[in-house]
Amino acid sequence: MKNGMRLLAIAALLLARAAGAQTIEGILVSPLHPTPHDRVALTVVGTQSPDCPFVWQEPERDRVYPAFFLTAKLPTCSSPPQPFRHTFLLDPLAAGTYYAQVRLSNLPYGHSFEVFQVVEPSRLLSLAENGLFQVNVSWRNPKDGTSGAGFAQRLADDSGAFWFFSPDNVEVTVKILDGRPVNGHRWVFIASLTDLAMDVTVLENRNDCLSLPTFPPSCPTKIYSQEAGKNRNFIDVNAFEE
Amino acid sequence: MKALLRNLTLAALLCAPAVHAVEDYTAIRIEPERPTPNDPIHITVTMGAQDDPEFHLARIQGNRIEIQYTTYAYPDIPPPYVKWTYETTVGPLSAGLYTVEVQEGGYPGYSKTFEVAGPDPSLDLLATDQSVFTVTVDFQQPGSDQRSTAYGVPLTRQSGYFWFFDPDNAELTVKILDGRAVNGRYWVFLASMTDLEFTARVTQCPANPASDVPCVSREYHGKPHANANILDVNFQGL
Repeated sequence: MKNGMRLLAIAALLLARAAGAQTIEGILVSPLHPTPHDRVALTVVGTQSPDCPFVWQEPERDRVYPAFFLTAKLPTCSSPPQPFRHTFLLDPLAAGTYYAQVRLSNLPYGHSFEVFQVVEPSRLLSLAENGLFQVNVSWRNPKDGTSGAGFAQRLADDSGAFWFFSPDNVEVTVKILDGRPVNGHRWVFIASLTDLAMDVTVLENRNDCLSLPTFPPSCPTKIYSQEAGKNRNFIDVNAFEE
Repeated sequence: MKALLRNLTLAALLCAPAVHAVEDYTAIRIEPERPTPNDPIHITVTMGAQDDPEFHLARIQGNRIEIQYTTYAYPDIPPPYVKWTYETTVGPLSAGLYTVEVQEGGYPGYSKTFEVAGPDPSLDLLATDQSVFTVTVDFQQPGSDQRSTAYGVPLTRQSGYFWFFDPDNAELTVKILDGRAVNGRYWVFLASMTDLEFTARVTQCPANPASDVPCVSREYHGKPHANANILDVNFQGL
């Protein structure tokens, strides 16, 4: 039975190839780490003939499983194919694991399930040297008395950003470089895109000090403060001596 | 032909991954998250199963990276399932689209598609009307007269950053907000974490490329040996 299924699956794949130049390569998910605040973009990538492109239906969500089905009719024309991208924007999703699958309505099988995670946003950013440094941002608006903590977005190993009100609206970027070969210190760079009051706290988890049962943690810490109504950057090339 | 289609449908149904069995643990992670043609690519696969899935890298065929596993279902043993992890490294891979496909016994299961791309000298940000802002940046090399191109990385639909020397080292963050409801203009923010001299160009073009409406553009300069942000709340858009 299993051999029969294998043959059928191979036949299905061969049929897909024989269907012509129209191919589905997969689904790209954006942003890379969506949160429940984001609209998730599912971009189907592949090739199609400009003369008869795929005609897509609205994404369909499974009633039971956390899965989305992106359905199109497989066009049949033989003109040379070109790469295409077709993006579906989903409404924000609760945290969890989700699947997306391309289905071609005139073929009796779907592609493999693209898996992606929606995660709760973190208020803590781990940066540089395998996450040795932990950064958080607290903000205050003295005009209306509101305050809060920024949500972290990782940019790269050494760089990250924080948003306050909308994930599309970055308010602070931070990077930490290892300047020890030059002057024996790490270098902290903070660029502000806000005029709200804020404190950027950078903590070095030296000798795994965060695991000690002390509060506040007995870790080397630096706080960079911006006053309300100001917009200032910080470049501290004398932070966290070795 | 009809019988073949029926069999194919049946095969597809039988081959469908047991989503409910693995959904709590199923994940495929790619490192680095935005690989270039110079990077080895580290793949981490996790899934839930009752017994060791015995993962192995099956083959790399074209742009498909196939990882296979075998699970043994014990109907009498209820969940919870144990989390299993498999790690492998492939590449570097040439620029293009790739799919990691995790297969059970050779049948398609779940997958992750990712793009290997060379550094991009421009950054496209979307306006609320779907028109596109293209941002480019060049900078003065320290200690020389040469100018170099900075490379853009998208962060969200309306923001991104540029790196100069190292992809891990963001130098300039850009966001463009639609302030037209307030003052009829777009707001361009450039947050600098460098003291090198740079020039940023922001160009907005119509959503429809066939449109006769010309693109609009503005340049912003960061002075040498200074670190300052640029906040322009008067970008006259299209």
